[in-house]
Parts: sequence; C-alpha cells; structure tokens
Amino acid sequence: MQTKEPGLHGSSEVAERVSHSATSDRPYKIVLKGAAFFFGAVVLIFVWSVLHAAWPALKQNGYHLITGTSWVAGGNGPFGAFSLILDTLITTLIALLIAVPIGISSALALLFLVPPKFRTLGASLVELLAAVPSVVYGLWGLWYLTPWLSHTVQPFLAGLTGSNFPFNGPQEGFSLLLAGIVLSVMILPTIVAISRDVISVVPADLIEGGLSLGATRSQVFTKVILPTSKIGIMGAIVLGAGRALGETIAVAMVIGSNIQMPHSLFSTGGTLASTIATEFGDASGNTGAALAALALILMLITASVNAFARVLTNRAKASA
Amino acid sequence: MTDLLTQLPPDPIYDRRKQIQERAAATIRRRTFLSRTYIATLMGCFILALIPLGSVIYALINKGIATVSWTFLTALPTQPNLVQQDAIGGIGNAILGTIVIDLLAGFVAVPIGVLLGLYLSEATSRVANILRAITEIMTGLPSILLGVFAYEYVVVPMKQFSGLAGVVALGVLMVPVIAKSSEISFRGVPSTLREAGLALGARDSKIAKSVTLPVAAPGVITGVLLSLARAMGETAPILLVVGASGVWDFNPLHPMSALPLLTYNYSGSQYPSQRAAAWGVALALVTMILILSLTARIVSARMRREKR
Amino acid sequence: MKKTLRRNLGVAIATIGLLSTMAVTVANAATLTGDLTFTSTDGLAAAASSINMGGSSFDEPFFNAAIPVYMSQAAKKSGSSAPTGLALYSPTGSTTGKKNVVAGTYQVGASDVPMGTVNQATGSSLDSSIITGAGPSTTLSNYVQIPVVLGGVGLMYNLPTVQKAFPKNPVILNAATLAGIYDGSITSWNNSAICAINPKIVNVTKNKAGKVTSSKCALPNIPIVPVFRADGSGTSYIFMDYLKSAASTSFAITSGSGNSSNKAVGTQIFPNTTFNQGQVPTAGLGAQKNAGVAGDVEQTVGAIGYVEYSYILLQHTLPAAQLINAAGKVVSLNAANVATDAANFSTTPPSEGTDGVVKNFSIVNGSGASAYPIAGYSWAIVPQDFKTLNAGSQAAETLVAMFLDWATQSGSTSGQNVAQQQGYVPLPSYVRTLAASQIAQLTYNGTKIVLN
Repeated sequence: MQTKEPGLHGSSEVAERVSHSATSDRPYKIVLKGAAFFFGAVVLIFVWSVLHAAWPALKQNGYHLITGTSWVAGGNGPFGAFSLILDTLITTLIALLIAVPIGISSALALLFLVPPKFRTLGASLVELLAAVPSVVYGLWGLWYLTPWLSHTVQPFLAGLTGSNFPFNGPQEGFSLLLAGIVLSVMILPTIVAISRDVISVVPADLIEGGLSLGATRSQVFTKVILPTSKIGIMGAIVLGAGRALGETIAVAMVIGSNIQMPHSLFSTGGTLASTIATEFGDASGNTGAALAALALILMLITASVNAFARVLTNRAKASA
Repeated sequence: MTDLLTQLPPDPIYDRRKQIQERAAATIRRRTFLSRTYIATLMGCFILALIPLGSVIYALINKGIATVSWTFLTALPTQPNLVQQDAIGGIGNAILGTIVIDLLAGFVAVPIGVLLGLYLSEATSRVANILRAITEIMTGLPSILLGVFAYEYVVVPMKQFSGLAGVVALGVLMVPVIAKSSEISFRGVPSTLREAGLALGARDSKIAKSVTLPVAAPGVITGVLLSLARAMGETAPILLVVGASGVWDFNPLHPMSALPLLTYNYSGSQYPSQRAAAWGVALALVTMILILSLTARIVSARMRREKR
Repeated sequence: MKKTLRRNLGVAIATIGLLSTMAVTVANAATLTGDLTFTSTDGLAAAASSINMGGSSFDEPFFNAAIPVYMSQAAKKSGSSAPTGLALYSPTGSTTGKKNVVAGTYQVGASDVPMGTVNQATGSSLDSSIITGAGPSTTLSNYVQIPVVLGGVGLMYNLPTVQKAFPKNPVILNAATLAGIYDGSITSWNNSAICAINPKIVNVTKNKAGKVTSSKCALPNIPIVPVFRADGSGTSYIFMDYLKSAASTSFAITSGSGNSSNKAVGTQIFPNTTFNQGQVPTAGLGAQKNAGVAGDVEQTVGAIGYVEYSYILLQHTLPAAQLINAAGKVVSLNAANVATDAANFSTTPPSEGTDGVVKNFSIVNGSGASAYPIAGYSWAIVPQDFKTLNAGSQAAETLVAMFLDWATQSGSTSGQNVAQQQGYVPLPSYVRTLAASQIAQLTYNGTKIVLN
C-alpha cells in the first residue's frame, strides 16, 4: 500500500484534478490570478527601476562589482563589493546557525511541553519580538550586548582558538559576530511562529501511530513530526534568512561599519543591506548607482538561497 | 479452538508489529534516557530563546516606562531647547499616523497577499513558479529600497510627501511575507479534506472558502500578524516618504508622523530626554502590537470554538 | 458565527472611532502655553502643507524649533489670516535635501556643504550628478544658497583613568595628532606626539624635599580607537577640511572610474562627507549619526570621535578634547570661541557666484588667539524662482522668504535666538548680511519677492 504524506504536496495534484473537473469556476480563478499578476506587475516595475538605477555602476565596474575588494563611496568609485558580500553571507549564516535550532526547539516546546494555559501567551510573546523596531534592536545590541561581547564572549572565544582564526583581532564588541547574534534574535520570532503553525497541523493519527508503536516522545519528534513538517520548516527558514539578509539599521549600528576584507569573526565591516542604508542619505551619481547595484546583488543572493531551499524541498518530496 | 488459531496462515502485519514491540521493549531504557535528554534540550533551547526576549523587554520597560505617561501618549511633539531640555511633548500624532498608515497598508496587503498565497499553493504553471520565485525574493529586500520606490512613484508625481506613499511602501513590504506564510499554511491543509469537498461536488471557490481557508486560518492569521508587526516597526521605507508632521491628521494625503520614525529620530537626538523617549516610543509600539496580536488570537480561537 | 464576528468587529471599530474623535477634540481644545509649542488652532488645515523642508540632520533641531515659534508669532501678528503651510523638517540627509530641492519635492533643502562645492584637489563638482540628473534645463545658478546656522565640531574621548586622575585637565590635541589618529599612524594614547602636547597629564615623583625628580606621561598605553561617521555628514566634511588645512595629511584616497585594481587612477577626494575604506585604520569604528559616534565612544575605552558642539553641550558623560589652534593656543569648545573663529573670516566672506557655486564657505583653522578651529555653516538651498522651476506658488515663496529672513536675523524674538537656544552659535553679522542679500535674490516669475 502506498502511503502518501498528507497535504503538503498533494495539493497540486488535487488542484489539477479540480481545474479539469466540471465544477471548476472561472471567477474564482480570475480573482486569484488578478491579485497575483497585479502584485507581479508591481514587483516587475520595482525591479526594473532598480536595474535602471544600477546600470551606470554595472557599466562602470563590470564584474569587478562582485570581485573587487575596495569600496570607495565618496566619489566615482571604484566599487568592489566582495567584502560586503562576504560579510552578508557570514552574518546571515551565524544568524541561521543560532536561530534555526533554537527556533525549531522553541516551536516544539511551545506546542508540546509548555503547559496549555501558557501557550497562547508564550506564542504572542515570541511574536512580540517581531514588532520591535530594528532601531531598538540596534540600540539594545549597542548598549546591552556590546559590553557582554567585548568583556566575556570574545575573550572566551579567543581563548578557545588561542587568538587564531576565526577569533583573532581586536575585541571591540562591534563585529560580524555581534551582528550575527542580533540578527538571530530578530529572525527567531519568524522561525518560531511559522514552525509552530506548520507543526501544529501534523495529523494527530501520525503521532498516535508512532506512540502506539512504542516510540518515545523524542522519537516522535525526530522521526514523525519533523520529517512531516520538513517542507514547511524550510519555508520558515527561508523567510528568516530573507529577513536576515535584508536587515539594515540594526546591523549598521552594531557591525562597526568600517568596510574591509573580513579577517575573522571579530572584524568590523558592512553587509550589503547595512551599506545601502548607511550611505543612501549621502549618495549621489555614481555612488547611488553603486548602491542600486548592491540591491541587485542582494536580490540575486536571496534568489539563490530560495532556489537552494527549493532543491532541498524537491528532494524531500521525491524521497517521501 | 486453539488448534484453529495455530493453524491460521502467518499474518505478516501481526508478526511485524510483534517484532517492533519486542524491539521497543528491549531498548526502552536507553530510548527513555535519550528522550528525556532531548526533551530537556528542547526546553533548554526554549528558555534560551526567552533570554534575549526578556532582555529586550527588560530594556524597553526599564528605559521606556519612565518616559511614558498619559500626556506623552496623547500630546503633540515639541522641540526641547537648552533651557527646557525635557520639553519633548508627546507622540499622539505619531500613534495616530501609525494606526492610519498601517491599517490602510493592511487593508491593501492582506487581501492581495492571501489571494496570492492561495494562488501559489494551487497553481503549478511556469508563470506560477516565476511568481513564487519573485515573491520569495521580495521577502528578503532591504526595506529602504521600497522607500525609494515609493518616493519615485508616489511622492514625485504628487509633489507631496504623504502617508499614502508610506502605505504603498509598507504594502509592498507586507504582501510577499503574507503570501509566503499563507502559501505554507494552505499547503498544510490535508488533501483528504479537499478531496472530500470535491467528492461533494463543490466548486473551487467553495472549497477555498469552506475548507482551505478555515483550516489554514490560524497559520494565515499568524502570517498577517507577523507582517503587520514588522510593518509597524519598519523605519526605512517611511523615513523618506511621509515627510514630517507635528499636527493631528487623519488624511493620508498629507505628511504624517509615525512611531518608528520618531524612534529613529529621537534615538539620534542630542537631547538625552529625546533619546530616553525613543525607548518610550518603542514601548508604546510594542504594546500596540501585543494588544493587536492577543486580540486576533482570541478572536480566531473563538471562531474555531463556535464552529464546533 | 458570522453574525457575532460582525458584531464584535463593529463594536471594535466604533470604540476606536469614538476614542480617536475624543482624542482629537481634546487635542484641539488644549493649547499648551509657551513659546515653543505648536498651537493647533487650525490643526487639520495647517497640515495642508505646500512647503516641505528637509536635509541635513545637523539643522533638524533648529528648524523644528524655529518653525513653531515663527508660526505662532505670525499667528499673533495677523490673527485669522495667519499663514499656514509650513510642515516640520525631515532630517533625511544633506544629499537627499539637495536632490529633493532639485526634484521639486522640497521647497527648502538644507545641506552642510553648499551645493556645487568643488573637490579641493581637482576642481570638479561634488554634486554634478544631482544637477545633470535633473535635466538639461537645470543649472546650479537656479538655486539660492542661504547660510542659516553656525556650529562647531568637538572631539569626545573615553579615558576613564585619566579623567578621574586629572579632572580639570582634558586631553589636548592638535591637527597633526588628530590626523595621525585617524589615518592610523598613531596607535596608542601614550604616543610621544600626544604626550608632548599634554604637559599637565603627567605622573610626577617628588623627592623628600618636595622637588620633582621625574615626570612621566600619564596617558595610558592603550590602543586608540578612532570613531568616524560612516553615513555621509557635513560634520565629517568640516573635520576633514580642518585636517587638510591644518596638517599635512596622508589621507590620499583616490577615486576613479574603472575597476578596483587601479586605485591609483583618479582624483583625490579628501575632504569629503565620509571617510572611505583605506582612509581609516581597520581598528576604527564607523557609526551612524552623532548619537552613534557618542555611543561607540562610550562603549569603547580608548575611543575618540568627532561630534557636533550641541551634542557635547548636552551630555555630561564624556569630556571634550581641547585643541591647539592656528595661533598656537590651547582652546576649549564653547560658543564664544567658535564665534571668534567665524568672525575672523570676515575679510573673506562666503559668496555665491553667478555660476551658483559658493566660495569661501570654509571657516576652519581661523586666526585669533581664542578661535576654536573646527566650525562650519549650514546652508538652506531654495529655488530662485518658484514659477520657472515649478516649485510652488507665489504665496509659498513669500512665506519661505519671510521665514528664512526671520530665521537668519539676530534679536530676542528672531531665529538666531532660537538657534542659540538649540546650541548653535549665532551667525556673525557679515554672514547675516550675506543671508539677507541672498534672500533678496528670490523672485517669482521675474518679480522680486516683497517681504512684508
């Protein structure tokens, strides 16, 4: 007997059957398509305007935009965003490495381990974090985390590796590491909330089936719930990564904004998004075009992250 | 009778189940130990997640509560000076502006976002795949770009800074997030339910309305709340397009003030009183979100209870 | 289910509507007293703003204090026919201010560096792209630039042990040491160059007779962390202008078209509104806004950063360094010393040529025994003719002219008094004359604007 995972990938097959059935209705389709295409049109206009703005920088710098390592914003360039790209990837990676395990665990805890009375409150509190303006995260990072990092965390980490890579360099607090930590706190609510919703619709009979076979609670978690919700959780991670990649103000306040090739996790620097936000107010002419080019690079990175996630998802679907 | 039972042909499922049960009984102690450790780790991670939450809320309350008062919440802002360094006035019109702009942005973004999510969860065409990719990319955009977009396409033609430009910027910010999380929720609806609807002869729209939407409602509401919370806290898009205002104003075609704008400007002020007030503004904002979120959850829980 | 939901929703909307109506009525009824509040007698209509202002955040406290004062004075004078229509100021940054004035979305844009300023090394304009981007009919001479405020730039530093041991002796620095700190050639506080100019910060040992036997520099041997503005700022420009004019600096970053490997090609872009990669040491910290610089300095022992005078005036945590000026004297940062510095440039006042470029706007490193050497003006940029540049109505231009005229005058009820209350230094008289003559150039469709 072929067991099909419920819901998560069967819907498109259902949809196909529905659209070919005699009961399909046009107005519904038109409304859906209308909304979708309307938004698609807005996005296309947006992307075109970014391309148009970035064109002078693309012409001027060519591929050096991505491979060049020096970013001279005050005049005509050169504009090399390689160190910015590295910083972006490093900070987002740190944020995901921290937030994903903690986020999924929190979702599981909120659904199964926390006493039922506190579940709504707990969920709302975690989502509260999403409402805090990013300036406040920047201030919180600046006033509360920086001293903790420079006095406790950085010496400890440096001690682990004997002040060698990746924990070498001046311990000023402001660093890629701090930016990654602040980002992880900022994307935590997204990952927790969406994982919680995805896990809560795992059919009860699957869970009960596992338990009836004698599985312990952790085995139910790891072998029943998580594999079933894998695809949805991947979506949560992608949304979280998106927020981490695009965060501007909070990162700008804690990353040290001193653009350089990162030599360690304690380096200061700038991400693509934080540089756009920092230099936007004073950017004219070529610098403005270069910032628009940074936006394009960021969109490409986001697209790659999403494509990668989709590859993993498809492989998960195929193996199910 | 027992002879009959022993003469029955071997039942593979019964044997397999017996095998599993024996195996389970044999390893129960190790598995229980592992399970307890795992559960403890889960709770530990959850508490770890609560630590920064606690720290941020502590910072907000500790630094913000001193500045918040009824006057603060309802008065208009004033500019302090060297002689009256604490005369910062209030944030009343900023609260109004935030409500107006975000309510309108929600009215625009929620229908489009949910419909888009529904479309993406059902459609499989090439166009749909492209749209899905576009939506995902837009969730990772630095919001300042949306501010520039709204400036070019709303402020410049109108030659006027307005709350409307802020609505456009925030709306474009919210739609992809709502769409993506709604899509995840809609896909999570078990296909058995949809097939049941089909079997009863329901049309697509009926299935969507009576099956998909209600089952996915909690997830959709979560997505809406998350994106609304994020939009209410976003500074960069509205910084460039709503201008500045010191008066009470309901009209979105005029310049407006907004809470995240105030937080940003106050946090960089030279007056310590305004820098302290930045925390108070943020506290007010977060409280608004908390009320909104709890209300929505209570309403949705009541909806679910009434259905049963 | 639907009925109860609709009912609840209706109740909620009604409550919100009732509450907000109450709030607005209360707000309209209450008029706070005092010079500095915005009486919203015409609250809703006044927001029908036809005049938008914005730009440098350096000017924000001034404009946001001046606008309500001016409006309430004007209301008292003309009663019901009081002008309405000045919205508050948006601190969006100097370049955004310039761009928006040229685009027509601001009627007044404020910038710390006048529009059209040429790069001191090459003679090419820093703002050419703003002008050319606006179309072939836009030229710099279409815009009038009016000096509105004067401010100083101070250096905050974080040396708690020195501050405790020598509470009456702030650290003394000069252009050479500052340049060394910011380009990375001076890396620790007890560098000999810094010690040499700080004779009072010493640990003395005395013998039994009370005679001083040795005195060692008491500045600690800790690394200096220079903090700079990563976002473009006129404060950075003024600071760099000072370093360039008063010290031989090695900030020779060049900017050039081409790829990042041919850095040698191009034009030197110092001074500028931002320090660039390669100009500051990797141990330096970039911060956003004055508050960011101050915050970074406060968090990092051994840090030093440059901020506006009014910022230093209002905080009491960190000390400001004293500087050795062009006359060789040690001066503190205060309003009088900044005024002395500005006054000493009266023989070479700023002037806007027919091409629209403002010359002689720099007032760093002035002569005078008590002159504080780091100071600069901020400029309001206004379209010269609202009709031909499609920037607004005649009434709007008249209001702008009258407001700026009031704002640049001295006197107990005028704008410069408000500026002083915000921590700026009042404009010297020769600059006030310049402001008046600039405002007199405003025309509407060719006819001069009459100030009444």
